[in-house]
Amino acid sequence: MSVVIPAALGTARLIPSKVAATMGLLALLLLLAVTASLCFGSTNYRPWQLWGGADEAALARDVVLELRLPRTLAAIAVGGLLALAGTLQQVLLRNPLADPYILGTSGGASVGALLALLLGVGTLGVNLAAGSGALISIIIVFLLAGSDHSSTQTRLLLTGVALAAFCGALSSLLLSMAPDGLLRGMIFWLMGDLAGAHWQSALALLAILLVLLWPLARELNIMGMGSEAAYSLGLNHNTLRWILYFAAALACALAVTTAGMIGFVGLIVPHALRLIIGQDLRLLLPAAALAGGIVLLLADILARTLIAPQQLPVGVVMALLGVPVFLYLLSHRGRR
Amino acid sequence: MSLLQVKNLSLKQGERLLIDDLSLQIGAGEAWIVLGENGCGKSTLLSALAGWFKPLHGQILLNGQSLPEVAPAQRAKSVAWQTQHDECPFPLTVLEKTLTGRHPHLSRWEWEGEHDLALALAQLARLDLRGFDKRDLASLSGGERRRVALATALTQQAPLLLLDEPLSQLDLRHQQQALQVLRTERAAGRSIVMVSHDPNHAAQFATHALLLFGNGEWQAGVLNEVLNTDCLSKLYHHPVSVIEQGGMCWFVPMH
Repeated sequence: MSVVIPAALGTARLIPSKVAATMGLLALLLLLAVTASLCFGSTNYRPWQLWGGADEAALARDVVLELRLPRTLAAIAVGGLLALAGTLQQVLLRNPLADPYILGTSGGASVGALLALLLGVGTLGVNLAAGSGALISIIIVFLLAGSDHSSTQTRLLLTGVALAAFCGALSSLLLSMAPDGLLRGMIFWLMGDLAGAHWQSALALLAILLVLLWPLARELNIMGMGSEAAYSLGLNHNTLRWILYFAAALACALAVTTAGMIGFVGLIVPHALRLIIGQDLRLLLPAAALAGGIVLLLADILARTLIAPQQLPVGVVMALLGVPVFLYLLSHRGRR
Repeated sequence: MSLLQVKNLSLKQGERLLIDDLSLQIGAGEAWIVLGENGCGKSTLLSALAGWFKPLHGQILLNGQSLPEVAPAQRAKSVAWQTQHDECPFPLTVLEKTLTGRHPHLSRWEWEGEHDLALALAQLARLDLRGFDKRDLASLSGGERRRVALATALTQQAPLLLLDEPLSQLDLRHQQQALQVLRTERAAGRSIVMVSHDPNHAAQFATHALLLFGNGEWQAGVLNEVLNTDCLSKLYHHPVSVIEQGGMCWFVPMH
């Protein structure tokens, strides 16, 4: 970093009480964001109308519980998965600029999902295909550019951009081959939209990944420092690397099959958190998952309210916010 | 039984044979200095001794057990390896970096405790890094970062220290301070293998020397048998003479 970061806000190391305090604060922020999400939308219904007169209550229930609540939960789950995938890819590639969207992981997942849709396999097949696509693209990026440790890491980013472009072309190819009946459902994958998203499996996977990965956090801390350091401190870095490949690919794939291509959550969230709470993954990993949910939820509230009663796809809002941040970070790294 | 045994070790980097048929034993309390020209295989040898670089032939035994067969967690408790490069892409405080040395000693659910903290702070203090614990690693100078890396290796509390040019960017006072620390560690029974470019470091901490000539040839032994003007002149392909002052021998290049 060109700027000297007051790492971890003046504390020299992470202590368990700081983990508890930070997670508590983030949980509170999440609760506030959920409340806001249930209150605001493209229509003017509010949650307290649930207890109003009968007609009003029925309409409010439809809007608040049937539309806004599932969408809120989907935003939390998808945002959390993307931030988690981004954090893991950053450790894996030892690059704070890694993000599933920028490196083509989301692209790989969407090609897999589109292909599965075109072949007419079921939901499980779509998820599996998306997961394989994400895994393949992560491994390609790692093999081609994982050893790029130059300070600008041009090769890594270029490889990712090229791969993302290739996946975009493949997606267009699959769309142009698709029959009209399937086209509408397939285009959804390219937009990034939370309307009508199913949150259940995404939220479950987020919880499972956090429970499985958190015990490995101290090892992942060391892995981020380099393979030789990891080796000399007794880590089984090959096994860990495969765990990270699979975990990042799974998280990214389920985020894509739930809500389509949404970028930059995995970049902005861990980056901002590192400035505030430090690099220690014992806190960063769960904090990124919660904060990713908060950020995507806020972006979705904007998407619903900016030009209400019309709605924007949340992927568009995230890109409008994320690209300037990414370019700013890139220019700062270049000047080192 | 010696701590580390090297048997008929040959190392090849690409097409170049760096070390041919090296055999030596490193016992407890022995300090070895490894000297040679740039690119002669000093760092490669060190990474082979750490178990990272795969040798062409030969065997390395750690406490009598073949190195690749030693469990990684066990190896990390026996060998600390300070590499030449220690860039960290993420913001990390000096104390966080130093505490990574405790990783092999902590179980999965354990958090660094008071003992680990005291140990890490003590190593930082020994290398004149008191008060640096909250600093970001990226804000340090090259020499300061080298000292943090050495403090991290010391915090690992391994019986064998493999140090790759730990003094390379240090100023005169901090070099002397670090050499004093190495003398203390050696006296406490630790074994040290240190790569250096200054043959004058040898007399200040080492008991043994290993010269690598870069063509596979090597010479190893007790310090005063190996370290003389003839050997050093041959090693560096440049005439070296010796100045005696106050009972110490100083090797200097001739014009």
